[in-house]
Amino acid sequence: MSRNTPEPELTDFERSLAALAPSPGRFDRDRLMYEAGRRSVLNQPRRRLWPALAASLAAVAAGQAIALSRPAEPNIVERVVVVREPTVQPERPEEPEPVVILSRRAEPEVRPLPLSEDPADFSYLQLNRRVARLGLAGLPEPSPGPSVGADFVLAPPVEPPPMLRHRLLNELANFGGPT
Amino acid sequence: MEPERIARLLDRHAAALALYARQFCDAPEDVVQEAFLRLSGLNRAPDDPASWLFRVARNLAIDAARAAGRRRRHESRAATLGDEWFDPAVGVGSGEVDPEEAGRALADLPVEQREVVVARIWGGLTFEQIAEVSGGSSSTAHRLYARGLETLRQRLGAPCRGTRRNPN
Repeated sequence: MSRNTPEPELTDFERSLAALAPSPGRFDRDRLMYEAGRRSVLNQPRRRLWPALAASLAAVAAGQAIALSRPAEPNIVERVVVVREPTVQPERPEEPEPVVILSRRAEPEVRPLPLSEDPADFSYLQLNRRVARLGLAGLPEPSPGPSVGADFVLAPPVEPPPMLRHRLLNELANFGGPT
Repeated sequence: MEPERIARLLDRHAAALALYARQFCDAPEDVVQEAFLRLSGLNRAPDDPASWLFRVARNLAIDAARAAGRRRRHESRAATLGDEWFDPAVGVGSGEVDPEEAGRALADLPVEQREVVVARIWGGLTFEQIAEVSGGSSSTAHRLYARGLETLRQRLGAPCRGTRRNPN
């Protein structure tokens, strides 16, 4: 909008009309100026900043006071937990674990094997295995008599042959008794 | 806006604004007061305070008339109130136009012409400012003004005489 447009000239009639004064009405100029000044001050942004800030802080303080005045309630949180079922494997028959008993106290219970007439029972290798496994207690005792079958039957003492007996007596006489 | 500037605008335009708002509503003083209060509440002064005041006063006056539902009734009886539009103590001595006759002649004008005549003669607005206030064009404002002024001249019996430069 251009303000430089030349306005048409006023005629004498227009000037005579302009000489008339509009009715002043019921204006209260002082009150209007007071209200205008008050509103101009109220509408300043700085004037509204501090009340707004104070109101917001008061609201926060009131909220915290309400929160602190309430008793603490247990916080129950419901969660959905997905549990995956383990894959079912075919059961295997449990294999019995081998039980190994290593005890020397079982020595008295070791039942010495009677001497058998089987020469394999008196073999060095067999005796060595017995001693390694059972100790000295595993040595066979001289059997009192011959056994019959699987039962332990005392056999009558076996007398060495006369020649051997004589020889053994000589050795005892010469070197003393066994230690 | 500074209080001194508001006071100058008040002294300069308050009466003309009241006359202008009187074209639309029954309580022009309230409309003018509200317009000045809104002006004082602005964080930044408008570029053209006079035009701004007339536009706000016009809108407020029309809103007030619509709210009261009396606009048409007020406009129809405007002629009966025309003798109150001008101060009878001013202008009588000049001997050219009688205030009461001028008020009645002005009240008989159509509201569109009356609005432009009041804004132009007593408000001191240019036609461009009037067009901005009323929402029309400056040529339309000029045409309405010419018609209204001719009607007033005929009714008041004023002769057509020479022109003078615009004092504004």
